[in-house]
Amino acid sequence: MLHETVRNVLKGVSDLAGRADALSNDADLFDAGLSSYGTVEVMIGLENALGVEFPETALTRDSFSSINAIVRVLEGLQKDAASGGGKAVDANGWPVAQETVQ
Amino acid sequence: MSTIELAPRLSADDFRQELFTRGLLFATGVDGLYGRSATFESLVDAVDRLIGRLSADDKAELMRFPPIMTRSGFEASGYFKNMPQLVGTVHCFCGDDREHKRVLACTPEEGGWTAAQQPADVVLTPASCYPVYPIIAARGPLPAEGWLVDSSSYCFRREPSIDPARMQMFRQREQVCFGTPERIRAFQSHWMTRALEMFRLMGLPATTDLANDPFFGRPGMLMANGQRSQRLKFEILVPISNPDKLSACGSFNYHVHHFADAYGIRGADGEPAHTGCAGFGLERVALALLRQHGFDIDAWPEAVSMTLWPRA
Repeated sequence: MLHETVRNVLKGVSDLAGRADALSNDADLFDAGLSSYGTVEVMIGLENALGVEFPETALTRDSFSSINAIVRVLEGLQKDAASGGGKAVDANGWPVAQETVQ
Repeated sequence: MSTIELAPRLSADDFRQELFTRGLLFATGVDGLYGRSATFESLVDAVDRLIGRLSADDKAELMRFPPIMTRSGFEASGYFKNMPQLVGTVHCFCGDDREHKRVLACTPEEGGWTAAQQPADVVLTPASCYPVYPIIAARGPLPAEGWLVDSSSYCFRREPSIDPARMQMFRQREQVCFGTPERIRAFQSHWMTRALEMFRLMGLPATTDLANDPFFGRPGMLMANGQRSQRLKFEILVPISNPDKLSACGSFNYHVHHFADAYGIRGADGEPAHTGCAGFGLERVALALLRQHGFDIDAWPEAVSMTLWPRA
């Protein structure tokens, strides 16, 4: 599920245009042509798609080095959100915005 | 860090006031914007010439620029994407008599005289290497050995500060290297060694360190971390306004193929060229000298004077 979301976001990044489908989950995205600004596009794309915010500690090159690496970071965020004191989560385990709960 | 003894502490505010009182810089009422005296200019000129002497054997192509560059060249660089907070644009009045009369009558709330300003086809130059890339790209593929340019320009960064070392407009002297990754890494390393020697000759307590550009916002943190992890940017640092927070007087950068992609710069093999630059902020070096050796240039150590003003 997360792998698919990440791949969909990568498809929309011009650095990887037409190549995202052919990448293995372990392929090095920087070797595949992902630039620094392309990394920012991936970050923003995932934040918009999943309604999350990457914490400062995750804003590193390693976090975005492969599809698997990105998924690991996202799973960590999901776990943190789930253990965040009984906050409401949606069907995918992501926190639901406070306005929606109220 | 060398063993050169540091000058006594002086706050940024006191240092700036001292520069005004002694007539070295002229206050304008805007932080970061100063007039320069004959003495200050002679110092900037001496630093500029020293860099020229140390790099004379490099046989770089000389390019000097006014403090504005083409808007199209600026937009291609991606600078506004990465550092919008530093950008200065040029806007001009493009109306007729009637429009002129209208804007003169505009209240401040209506925009005042700026109400009809339109963005021009030029912007303020953010770094002296930026006007170089489109010129090199327009020439076609690079020679097999690459290319080297010696650029200089007044540059603008919108970061007003009471720290006199953080000017809004200042001069850069910057070499720009084009070629293979190996050539750019060697260029970067060579300039770091050369800069440390240059600062030692000037009697300045300098050190080099890994650095990052001031990228904007949260995405900027990702960019900065990426720049550091790839060891793309180094700075030469000297105490100027705050001994606890050193000021960068120069930087040595490897852009990988960012500018080649942005401007279409190709190597002899037709592949995107790699680029790097090594530049100094001339006013900052001049201020570091004044801070370290005192405000009376005639009383500076003989060795420092001989480095800056060698007898023919």
